[in-house]
Amino acid sequence: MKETNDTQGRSAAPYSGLKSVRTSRWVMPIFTVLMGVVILVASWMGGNPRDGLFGLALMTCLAGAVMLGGRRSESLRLMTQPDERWAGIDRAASLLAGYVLLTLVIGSWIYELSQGQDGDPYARLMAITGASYLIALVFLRWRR
Amino acid sequence: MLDTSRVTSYLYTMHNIVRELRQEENLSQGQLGDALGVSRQTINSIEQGRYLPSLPLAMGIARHFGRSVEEVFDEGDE
Repeated sequence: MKETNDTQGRSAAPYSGLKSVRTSRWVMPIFTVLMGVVILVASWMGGNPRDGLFGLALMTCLAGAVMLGGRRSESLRLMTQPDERWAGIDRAASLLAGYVLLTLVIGSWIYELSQGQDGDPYARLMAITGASYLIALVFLRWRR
Repeated sequence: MLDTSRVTSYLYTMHNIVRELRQEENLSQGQLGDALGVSRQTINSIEQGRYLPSLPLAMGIARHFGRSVEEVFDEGDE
């Protein structure tokens, strides 16, 4: 370790707080398989058990591919254990996907109105989204 | 005087000497990343000026090499 010009006696020991950014590598695979189970239950209730089983198999394979691929690919490993840069990339990608989805919902609502429909369920989706945004603004303004 | 308009710019980048310091200690990007708790890709992006590290990570990098943050990261043009 090189000597610093620091006259305040700060330690040159490595910063230890960075590792707390990482989450358990099992969170994403478990969540993915659970989503598969939810798809199975919902499809079974709807009278389509085969579609549900296919959905569960697909989600399980996806979870397995990410887990196994993470041993060879750093990008796949970062999907389950993101560092700060990857967490920022994920936030930006999620924001973009959210804008795309919101544009589609608004566009669909406007189209429904133009066809003489009441705009349901798009109007409710927009209301929930708008309320969520305002609540998040208030909460984050208070916390940050 | 620090140009705050540049500080808040999304495209703001800073010159840094992380690569030089890493090579002086014969460390790979992966090894430095492991020491700091980040990925090799992140170290590479920092060295290339594509990614601005957070304050804790910038301090961690500086402390790893026994330097101050100002010595490692410079707002001068690359």
